[in-house]
This record gives sequence, structure tokens and C-alpha cells, in this order.
Amino acid sequence: MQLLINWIFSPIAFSIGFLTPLIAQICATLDMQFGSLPVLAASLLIAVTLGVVAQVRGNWLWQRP
Amino acid sequence: MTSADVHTASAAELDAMERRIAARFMHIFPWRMVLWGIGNCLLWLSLWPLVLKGVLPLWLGFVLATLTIALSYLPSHDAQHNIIARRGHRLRWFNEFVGYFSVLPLANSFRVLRHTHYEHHKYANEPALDPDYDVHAKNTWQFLLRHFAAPNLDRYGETLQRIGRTDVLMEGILFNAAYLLILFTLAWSGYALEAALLWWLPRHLALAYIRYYLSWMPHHPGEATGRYRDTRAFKSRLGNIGSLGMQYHIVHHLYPTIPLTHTPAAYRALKPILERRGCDLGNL
Repeated sequence: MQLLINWIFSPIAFSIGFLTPLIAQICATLDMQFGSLPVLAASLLIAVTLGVVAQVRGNWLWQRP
Repeated sequence: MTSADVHTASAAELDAMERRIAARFMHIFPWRMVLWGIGNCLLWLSLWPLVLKGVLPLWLGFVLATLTIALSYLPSHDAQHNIIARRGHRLRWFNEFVGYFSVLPLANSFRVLRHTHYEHHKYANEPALDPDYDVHAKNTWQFLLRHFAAPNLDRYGETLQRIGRTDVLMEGILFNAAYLLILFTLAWSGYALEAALLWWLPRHLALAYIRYYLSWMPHHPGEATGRYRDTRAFKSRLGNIGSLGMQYHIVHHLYPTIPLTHTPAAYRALKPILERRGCDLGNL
């Protein structure tokens, strides 16, 4: 249970669950391309990178003092 | 009561005078808060079909969502203090309904807000025990930096554990999990931008606004404790409505069962007593 709660509230879950489709929709709206890489794959890459950084730092924007 | 009465009154007489004045503003059914709480939440809910069906442009939906979410907390705040109906009253269920319903846009559990808020009242400005203590910062810029860049999101959970209300903590976790799952579902169903601009971003902006005016401004600089010291009155550049009625928050901390809509009148009536007690009334 604790593991499930930790996972749902983790930055990585947020990056996959929300940021990935959000970035993909923004890219589609702005007609952005990533060469041969599909937009959804590129969005996943960007979102998960942000999520991993946030997970390691403990915050999305800043290192908590 | 004249100014001379206040200045010559003994401590006991002053207490009695204060309680008598405050009592005039208590036990009033806050119908405006009830209409506000229910109407505001319905307005926010109506934004979803209006935007998804293309009746309302997304940018306007974002503006209205930010406004409605920022306005969603205060009716619940009156319900937290049982102002709509106290325990045992036949309308008690309605008090709890308004409490839960009005804060749906904030994706917060009413009981989490209620129990942590009671601790805030008990321990306002005490670093270890006030659940809202972390908002304190030197100035507005520092507050915003702390809120957006380095928020401490564990404080309410820690408070609920300290007071032994893990059942309420569990309810809070369920509310937050439901919020995230709805966001994820909307996003993967092709409505990520709509979810971001009708809920996720407006909620973050609204929370900053609410915390600024409810937690930071009335308790700034957050150093004094005690009934007449931990909260201050202030004059806001945005006026009383723009500051969510918090100019008179000192009245709320002294008499939490006075409805928000009656705190300005109560403040004016209590002002000579508060002045004698040496309260920080700013230039209000």
C-alpha cells in the first residue's frame, strides 16, 4: 500500500501520467516535429527526464533548502 | 460603549465588553457563504462541458477557473468552524456538505483542512506546531519563491499524525490520489491542455493566492504568539474583496465563529478594544 501511494505521488508517475500527454498535445498544437522520433516518444523522453531530475532533487523547480 | 469606557475599564470589564460585542456577530446563518460555496463550485464544474464543447475558449476557461478555484476555499473555511450548523444541529449535514463540496476544485479533503486549521488556530506562529508556519518569509517575493520553488508539502500530514488522526490523513491521500488519477485520465484521453488550464495550473495559482492572503499576510512576520499578537489587521492594496476578506483576519482568530461576511463590522465595533490591547492593526 505504502509503495503504491509513494508511486502515485512520485514525480515520475506525474511525468508519465500527465506531463507526457501534455507536452505531446502542446507539440501537436504548435505543429512541432522531432525528426524521425514520434511526438509521443519525444514527449515521454522530455517528461521522464524532468521527472527523474525532480525525483532526485526532491522538487520540480528548486533544490529544497 | 465610549472610548472613555474602554480606556478606564478594568481587565475583567474589558474582557466582558469584548465578548459582548463579539456575541452580536455570532450565531448568524451565513447564507451568502453558502450560496458562494455552492454557486462557485457549480460555476467551476460548468467550465468543463463549456470548454470541451467549444462554447467557451480555453483561455477564458483558464481565467475563470483560476478565479473560481481561488474563491473556493472560504465557504469551506466557515464550515470548518461549524458556522453553518454546529454539531448536533438538524442542518449539520448541510454544514459538512458545503465544507466538502465548495473545496472540490482545490482537490482537498474538507476534514484535512478542518483538523489542520484547528491546529493553526491553537498554535499560530509556533514554528514546530503551526501547520501553516512554513509560509513565513521576509517579503512577497520570498513567499512566492518558497511557495512555488521549494514548498514543504509534508506539513499537514505531519500535523495529522501528531494529533493521531491517521484516518483523516488517509482521506486526504485518497482525495489527492483521485485528483491525480482524474488528471492522468483526462490527459491520456486527449484533454491534457484542458486539464492543465482548467485545473492543474489554476489550482497552483489559486493555492499561492489563498496561502498568501490567509496564511502569510495576516500573520506576518510570524514571530509573535498569543491571542492578541499572532494575527494582525492590514490594509490591502487590492481592497477587502481582492484580499479575500483577510484584512480583518484578526477578528476571525479571536472569534472563529463569526462568519467571514461579518468580520468587517465586528472589527469596527471591536477596534477601540483591540487598540487598547495593543494589537497590530496596521493602518486599517
